[in-house]
Amino acid sequence: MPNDSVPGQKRILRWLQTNQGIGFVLSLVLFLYFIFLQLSPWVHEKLRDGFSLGFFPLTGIVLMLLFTVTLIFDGERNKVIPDLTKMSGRSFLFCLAVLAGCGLYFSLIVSIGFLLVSPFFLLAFMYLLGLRPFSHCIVSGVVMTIIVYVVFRLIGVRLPSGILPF
Amino acid sequence: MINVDAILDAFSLVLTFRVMYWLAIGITIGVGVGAIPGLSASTGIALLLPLTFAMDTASSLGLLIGVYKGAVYGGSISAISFATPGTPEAAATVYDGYKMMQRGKGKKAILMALYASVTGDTLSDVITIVVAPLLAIVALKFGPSERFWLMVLAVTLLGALSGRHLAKGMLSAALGLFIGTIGSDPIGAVSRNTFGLWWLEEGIHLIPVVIGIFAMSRMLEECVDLLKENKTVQSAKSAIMSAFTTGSEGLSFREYLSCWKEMAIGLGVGSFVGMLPGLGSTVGAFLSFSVAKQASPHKKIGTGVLEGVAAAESGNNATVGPTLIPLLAFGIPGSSGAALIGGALMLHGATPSPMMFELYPTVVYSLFIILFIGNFFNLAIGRFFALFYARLGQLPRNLLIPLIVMMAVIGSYSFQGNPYDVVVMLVFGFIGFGMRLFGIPDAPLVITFLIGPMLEASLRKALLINRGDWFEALFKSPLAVVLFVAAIVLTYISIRLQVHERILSVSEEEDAEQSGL
Amino acid sequence: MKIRFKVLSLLIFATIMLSVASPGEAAMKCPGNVISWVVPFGPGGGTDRWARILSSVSFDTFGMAMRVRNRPGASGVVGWKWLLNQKADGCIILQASSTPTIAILKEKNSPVKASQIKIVGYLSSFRSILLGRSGKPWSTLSGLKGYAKKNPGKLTIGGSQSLALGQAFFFDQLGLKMNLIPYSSTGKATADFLGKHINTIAVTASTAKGLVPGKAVGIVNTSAMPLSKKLKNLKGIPTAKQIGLNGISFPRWVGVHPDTPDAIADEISDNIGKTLKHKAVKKLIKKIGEDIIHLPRAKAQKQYNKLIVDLEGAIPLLK
Repeated sequence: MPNDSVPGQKRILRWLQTNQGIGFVLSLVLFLYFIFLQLSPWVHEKLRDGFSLGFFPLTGIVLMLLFTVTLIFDGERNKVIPDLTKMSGRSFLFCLAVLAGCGLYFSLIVSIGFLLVSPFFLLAFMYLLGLRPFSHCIVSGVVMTIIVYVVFRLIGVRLPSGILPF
Repeated sequence: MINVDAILDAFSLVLTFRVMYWLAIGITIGVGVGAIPGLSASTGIALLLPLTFAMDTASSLGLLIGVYKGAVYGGSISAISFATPGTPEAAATVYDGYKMMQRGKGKKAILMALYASVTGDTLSDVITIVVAPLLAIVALKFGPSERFWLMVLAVTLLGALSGRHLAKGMLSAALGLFIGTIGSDPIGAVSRNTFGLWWLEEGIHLIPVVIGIFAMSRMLEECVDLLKENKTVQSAKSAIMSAFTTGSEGLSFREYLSCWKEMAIGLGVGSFVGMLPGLGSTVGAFLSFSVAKQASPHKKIGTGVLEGVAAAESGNNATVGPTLIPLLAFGIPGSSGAALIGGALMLHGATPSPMMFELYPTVVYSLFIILFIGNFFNLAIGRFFALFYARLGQLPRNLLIPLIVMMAVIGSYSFQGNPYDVVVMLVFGFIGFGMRLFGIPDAPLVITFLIGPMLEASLRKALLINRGDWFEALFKSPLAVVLFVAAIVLTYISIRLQVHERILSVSEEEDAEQSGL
Repeated sequence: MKIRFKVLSLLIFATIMLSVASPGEAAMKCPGNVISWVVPFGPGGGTDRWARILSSVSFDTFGMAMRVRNRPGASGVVGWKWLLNQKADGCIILQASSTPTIAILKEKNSPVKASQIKIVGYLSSFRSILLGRSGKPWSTLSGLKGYAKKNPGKLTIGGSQSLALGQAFFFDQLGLKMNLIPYSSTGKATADFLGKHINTIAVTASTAKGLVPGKAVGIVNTSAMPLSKKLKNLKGIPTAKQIGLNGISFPRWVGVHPDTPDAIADEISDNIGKTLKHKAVKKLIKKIGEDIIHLPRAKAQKQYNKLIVDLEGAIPLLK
């Protein structure tokens, strides 16, 4: 229920955490993407069985749009999504950082090597997640890397060796 | 019809120390490979295939079938312990298995997965052996039109996987359909919906999607929770020690028996799905899971109960034997694993073809015997792994999350050594995380992502064959009509059950609210 | 025989699992004395199987270890693109099929051009062989022509993408309209053919061998190459060349970076020739149901250039 004492900005924020708010945002994004696809020339290319190249992708978008619009109007529209309320900007940024970190980690294992990079990735991540003391992070990082490496080698899968000869 | 001499020959070939040795090695490697995300049964078989160049036929079949069986079960171990399906077919096991693990009942769940896998596998092998030639003829009746209705039938079961809020479940299904269209058009062979990225030309593969949605997204969520709690583990050593010393409850025979209905569903659905080329064990597991869920709403499958694990696991292992049916009867592999076993047979001079039973009866019977015996090896070896992994799953989260995230990265890379798979995994990790935040279920996405492209290809092939005549394309054969009727009946039942279940859950909620007051 | 197999297994073990280099007498020098043999597809497929067989004798033929590296993705284009970013010293060799070539030709945004490769040899070639059921009016080429003229676009041909392309190319020259049904694999097309959902099917020689006789009869071989005499049941079917048409077949080609010096490319071509003549290789290739149809560098490059032109004409026919 909207509370009068809540300032406008906060009210919008709370609305965005309801099914209706999410439905609205998703519908908007999908609608814009639908328009973008409609303007792309490949979508209208006709194939020999009569379907256009974009028919099935567009069907997917229209179906998604249908259900996001349902979210705006159905019986549960005013329900606040509990997981969203506990999500702060900080934790969202942290998630993005984890994903970016994974991307960086992968590019480094390709160029420098799995064995050299993984212990650092693991120990940094463990420390960030609160594993103490630091020496335990180091030991766990090194031990886990070696175990994973040995298991993969036993099976016959090569992990990127990078600058190392093995 | 039955060639007794060939059967006796096959027994004397298979029941040797050497074959048993390779079978045991195969299952050990298989369970290990299966438990590592990214490495599936077919990767394991492909990696070991060169070794079989120098082996005799029975030993190489022992090794490869061992890997196949072991890997299909092995996937469930990490699905339960870390919510990271080792193989895509174990994704459906995550729902109940991981919840049980979080409640400290990991050992119970893993043992249930093992017993259900072995039960489903053994009984479906019996089906394979007894009715293989007959089933193969039924499988051939499924042309594009029939396959289209079969896919529609599978989609109608989606309702059960949609969770409490139907619109969100359907949104997830639509997203799966959309993602399934990325790649190349199945008829025109032109790339479409690739966002201008050339490397998406082949489409998106299931394995990075499953690792992203099931493993990565969960780990992101757990990271957020951990950060919130701001809890630090003061001594990693004692936490690790306690994971390996505290005992946890095993599985009683009674509990195993209580899941007979779910295992039977898994057996039926899995065997049927397995014998039709192309569907595969992931579809088998999800379908069996959702049929079991619909069949007994009161058991609350999906909330962390043994029955869910039993249905999913017997459903995926029951496909292993039957995928070999089209291979043996017609030389058509039913799955990539079966294709590789076909390749091995070829190397040993027994090229899979419609004449297989007449030309190489001893090889076929050896294969059957190995299929059957392999299950008992799986039971023994799988148990050892189960107990070890159940303890690993109890390790502190601060230690496990980084390990699982690392495995997700290298697993999606080592699946085929394609760096772009890691990108796909990370993107789907983010999408999955968003879906978890908004309360959108992930199962419908996986199902439509798998089935959507097959549904489209079947429909368009049926239309092409019938030169654009929709009626002819859809209702040409009696089987197609039967499947159509079945789809309608199933939709009706599904809607009724859904309504019933929803009324039940609403009234339960009201009761809870009243008692809370 | 057992001893040979043991030796072979040791070799395979050495090359695949350990890839330990040992000094050889090769003129070509590679870092660590190891050649990278790149397969742009996943492990376990046809190309991968060929590669692993060839690598098992690399000490005898190349004088150094050969490490098979799978770099799949985007129908083989990921591996190809990777090759173009490596040194042009001939130490990285790409083995592929027509699949990535077709993928590049049909993709507007492709980062690679189909001609961006120096072909060092053909290992084999697939012929697209059309099979039908015996007793049907279209089970011979003349019967098929008559039927297709009367019923344009009615007769269905199922097959994997490249084999269906072969048929499209062939019937386009005859001026006949056929109904092409592309499948993701030959196995799926075979299932529909055996279930009588499609009229004819385009397959390779090894699949045809399993289906003929009994389940199918051969109609036409759309390549210029006749089938080996051992395939008795398919011996009589006509080739495109015999009918006076332009034939098309789909090679298993081997190539190196386009800037590789010709001398090195020639040496690799010779070594490939030696490999394909190796007894163990011959035996294993036969066992996987394929034929060795070797073309050395110059001939293979010429054929490959023609293939690009032919494919450019055939691909729009599927669309």
